[in-house]
Amino acid sequence: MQIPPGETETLIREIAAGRESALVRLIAVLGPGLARYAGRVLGSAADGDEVAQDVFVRIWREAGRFDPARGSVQAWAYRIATNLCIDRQRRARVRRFLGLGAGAGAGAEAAGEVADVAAGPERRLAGRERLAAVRQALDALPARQRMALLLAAVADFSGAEIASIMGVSRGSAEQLLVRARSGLRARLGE
Amino acid sequence: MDDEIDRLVRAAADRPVDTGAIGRAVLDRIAAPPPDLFAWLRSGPARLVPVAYLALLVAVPLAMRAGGAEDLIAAVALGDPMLTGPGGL
Repeated sequence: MQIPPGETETLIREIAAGRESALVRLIAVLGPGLARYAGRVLGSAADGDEVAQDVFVRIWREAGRFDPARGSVQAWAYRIATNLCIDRQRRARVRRFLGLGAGAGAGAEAAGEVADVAAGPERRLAGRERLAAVRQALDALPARQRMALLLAAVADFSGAEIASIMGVSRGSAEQLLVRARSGLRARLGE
Repeated sequence: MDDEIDRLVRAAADRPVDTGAIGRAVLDRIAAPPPDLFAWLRSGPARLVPVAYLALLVAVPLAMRAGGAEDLIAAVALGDPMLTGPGGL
């Protein structure tokens, strides 16, 4: 969804004033991208939707503390999502270590199952295998490389914005992107 | 080259997202009162704690004035075998 310039900042001010309609509008604007990003980072569409919910609950509670000098509303929302994803991955690792379940990544296929349902049947059939291979290659990337690549590809963030969202230097963010793209290319045999 | 990879990643991440459902869940969550971490203080047994404390505040000085409590407290503090040993109180 195309976001008119300055709209999200206006929405955040209204959310800070307690206007729920502004939150609903922000969810319509940023929700799909956030849910897709988190879903692909965690390998589960359901987890992605839950993370998106958590992001908007936090935005509702902390909208008054948003500082435009530190970045855009989109960057803030994706920073929250990234931290929530890291928390979930950490908990999943502990669960796996304790033998309590598969944790994040268990629903890796779930995100793929629902993809591309709007396309025609022929295109779906032709692209399904290719997309499955890309998803598999994405899931095989190191988590931070996957995050950087998804931030660039799904949310269209620049290297500097990715660095700010992930809390790394700009050079590190660019390195993550280069490695992620070349890793994905190698896995896809291109 | 990078654009092609990014396009593939975008396509791989693409899926329908029900923003209406996300919105309803978020509105439900923000409408719910925040978790009450001190609810246990208002529970039945916890209410007896201040009552018992007040009772002790009154009972101990009264018992000390009557003369019985001082010996009892001293005996417990010193480990009097009459009180704490086998067959003791």
